[in-house]
Amino acid sequence: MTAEIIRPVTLNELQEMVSTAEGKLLPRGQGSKPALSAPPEGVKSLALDAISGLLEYNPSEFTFTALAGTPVEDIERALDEHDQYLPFDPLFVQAGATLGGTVAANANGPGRYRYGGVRDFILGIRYVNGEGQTVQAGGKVVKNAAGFDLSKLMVGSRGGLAALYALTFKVFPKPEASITLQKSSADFSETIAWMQQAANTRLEPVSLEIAAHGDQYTLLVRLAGLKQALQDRSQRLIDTLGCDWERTEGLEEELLWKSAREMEWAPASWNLIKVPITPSRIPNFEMSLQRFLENISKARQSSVTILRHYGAGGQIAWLAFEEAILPDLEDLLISQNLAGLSIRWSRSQHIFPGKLQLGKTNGDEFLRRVKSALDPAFRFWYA
Amino acid sequence: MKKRSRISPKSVRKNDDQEKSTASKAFIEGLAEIFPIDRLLTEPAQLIPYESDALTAHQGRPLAVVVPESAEEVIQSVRLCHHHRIPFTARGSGTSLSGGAMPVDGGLLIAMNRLNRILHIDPLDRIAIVEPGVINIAVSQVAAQYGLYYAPDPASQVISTIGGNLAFNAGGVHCLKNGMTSNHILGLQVVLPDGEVVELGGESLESISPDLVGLFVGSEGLFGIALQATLRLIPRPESYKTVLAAYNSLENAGRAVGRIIGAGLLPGALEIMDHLAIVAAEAAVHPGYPDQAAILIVELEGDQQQVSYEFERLMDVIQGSEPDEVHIAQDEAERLRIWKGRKSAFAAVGRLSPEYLVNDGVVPRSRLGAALAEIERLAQQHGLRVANVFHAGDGNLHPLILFDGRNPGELERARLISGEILKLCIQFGGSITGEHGIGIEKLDYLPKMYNPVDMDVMQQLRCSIDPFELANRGKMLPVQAERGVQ
Repeated sequence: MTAEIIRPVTLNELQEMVSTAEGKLLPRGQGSKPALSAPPEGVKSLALDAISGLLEYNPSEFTFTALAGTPVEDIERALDEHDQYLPFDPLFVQAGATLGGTVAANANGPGRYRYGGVRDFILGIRYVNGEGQTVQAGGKVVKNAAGFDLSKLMVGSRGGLAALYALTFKVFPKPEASITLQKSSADFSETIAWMQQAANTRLEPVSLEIAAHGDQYTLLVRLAGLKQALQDRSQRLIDTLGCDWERTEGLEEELLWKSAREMEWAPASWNLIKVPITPSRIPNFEMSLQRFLENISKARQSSVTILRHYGAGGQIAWLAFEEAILPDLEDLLISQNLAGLSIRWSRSQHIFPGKLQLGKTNGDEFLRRVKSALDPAFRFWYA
Repeated sequence: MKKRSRISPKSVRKNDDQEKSTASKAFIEGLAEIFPIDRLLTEPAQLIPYESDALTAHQGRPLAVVVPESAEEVIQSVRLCHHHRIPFTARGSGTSLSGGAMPVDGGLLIAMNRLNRILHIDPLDRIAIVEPGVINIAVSQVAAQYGLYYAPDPASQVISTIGGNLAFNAGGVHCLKNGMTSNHILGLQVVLPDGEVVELGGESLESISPDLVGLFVGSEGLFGIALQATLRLIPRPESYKTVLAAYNSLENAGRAVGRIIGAGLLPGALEIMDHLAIVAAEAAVHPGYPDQAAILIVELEGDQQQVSYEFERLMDVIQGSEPDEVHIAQDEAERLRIWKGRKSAFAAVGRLSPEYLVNDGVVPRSRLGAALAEIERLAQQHGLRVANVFHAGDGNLHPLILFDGRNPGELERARLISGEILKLCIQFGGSITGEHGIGIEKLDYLPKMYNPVDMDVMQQLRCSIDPFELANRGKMLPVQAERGVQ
């Protein structure tokens, strides 16, 4: 089933189309996070990928403004020319992620550990509401306490409140160089212990991730900053944590993290779920997952695999799997007091598309009131 | 110390003699069922200390002040207010510079200071769960044992409370690298203006739904009252390197900032003070500031190795900027002394002048020089002195407009200068407030920064959550009834 697609090219068209289209709309960028771009039956897709372009970029101010449909790749290329970057490592850039989609999905990558996520870098927005009006909130300077912070509200809003039109971001100077240390173990609790140790050194890693594939757990620690200081700092890390660390530098290291930001460890045809979590809950979660996998494999009489990736120092769990087990997984998440967001669904889903949000998030009542004010006619669809 | 010398003719008070109506009596009786007599203040003499916050030119006379000791008492108070349609204001330590904690005339003031427990610290998850009356600095003091701290450091942090900080999205001197209060709040428990209690956010840095916490922080009390906050803690930097460079002009100090940023360095803090501010700070707390036209304070933070290499690069840049003097803090005591001067600047200028207005505009950093020149011109034009202290790294200005209210016309001239500065900030593409919020002080200027459609969206959002406009009525947005809207 294909949804009807509306595709404005200019602001006027966007305003016109939103105010005159019948039924509900779901904004989308390039569809790099397919589950978030898949409108349910009867909802039209509002494609914003043609609303694209860098409007303003002031390297000396450390800010830029770009249209929502601008590919993050284009933005990063422009920033790179001035040795600046988006510290939160937006995801799926090669797959065509747009700036607006990154905001709507709150799509943070490994770099979010050190300096924060989308919410910590967004400064201002212009959006088109259900009535076709253009609304501005926030501003273009790095410090602003005027008015309600609608820019932050839009982070993670999944297209459910408005059609984002233009976004202003703060950027940071790009670190001169980086180095990654990796160590593997078959013992999860040992790997978690290393992660905590790495977090507690005073070395301020920019990324701290655990890849859990099959029986192997690999800890990745990324240090970044002045080239001169890196050797000393990485040696210090090794001295604190013990030996047998694999060191990666240069182009190979860059590619390692590029691949991480594309989630290449998760097969493209598999389900991919994002689960916010905290370090203290991971051991229990990992154990429950193991039990879950044993039980479900037994029930299905075939081996079910879930690849896991714990990112941002243990603040996020990524789950990738092929089988149609979303409802069972949701039960597990709920029992752990967790919630998940589908980024991709595999075609094996019995019901396709699958469920977008697994479990419950806080603040539904408050969100209901916010939405009724910002989108009174409920033009934008929110799961 | 708050000034209580005189009631300004332009204050918001409606009548001096308040006849308690039957409705008010019923309301007070309702409060008496929640609070014992020593925590329910109704006598005029008891109410006076709460009439104003740090924006002393304005006062409000509340109907009553209550001092809850539990979240439940706060919730019941809000519900009672909703039932009787009485507006309310929550107040922490009353250090707001924009009138945020000033009571609404005839409204209820809810003093939150006794909800001051740090409920839980989790060093593994790096969070602190606190009641809103906890003093900002207390969080870092308790987190220190785990090598963690709470980063937002407004100058008021030894007195201001978390609740007040988050209502107004307080900033501080380390915002360039670390962000503002909003970037360090992960979860909230809030009582909405109709008395409903909701949970927003959670304990994780990550989330999969719209950032409701981000919307609530900085909403100036208009969405209700926070009962509990989950704060983000970060590791204390291992090493600080604090440098004070003195220049023979503000322009040169500003240019140095541009060079430092241009060198790819991201200092934790970058502050500038002009001569008048230097003189005041020196007289007040003796930080040992050089008697120069301007000083620049730069602070690097991070692990020892990173900071030591960055410091070399910083010193190259600073020497290249031709300073008149350079002082490098040799130890923690010296570092704190340098900061003490900067952080007490506002209070310090109180020695130079009986009164002052402090402005909080933001301009793009590249326009700082032009903004300062214009401020100087305005000061001369209107015959008042202005001391300048500002967050050079993020363009947030704090011109301190000195005046003596006893001299006829000086308050008006001070306000005029202040207004012109705000217009200038808008003109330069900045903001009318970097960290103090709108409160009542800048009510007239918010519609100059945003157009009618934008203002309307904010009003609609406010009214969706608070149809009777009870929560901190009169702050940030004009009341609908006063706008002639039904």
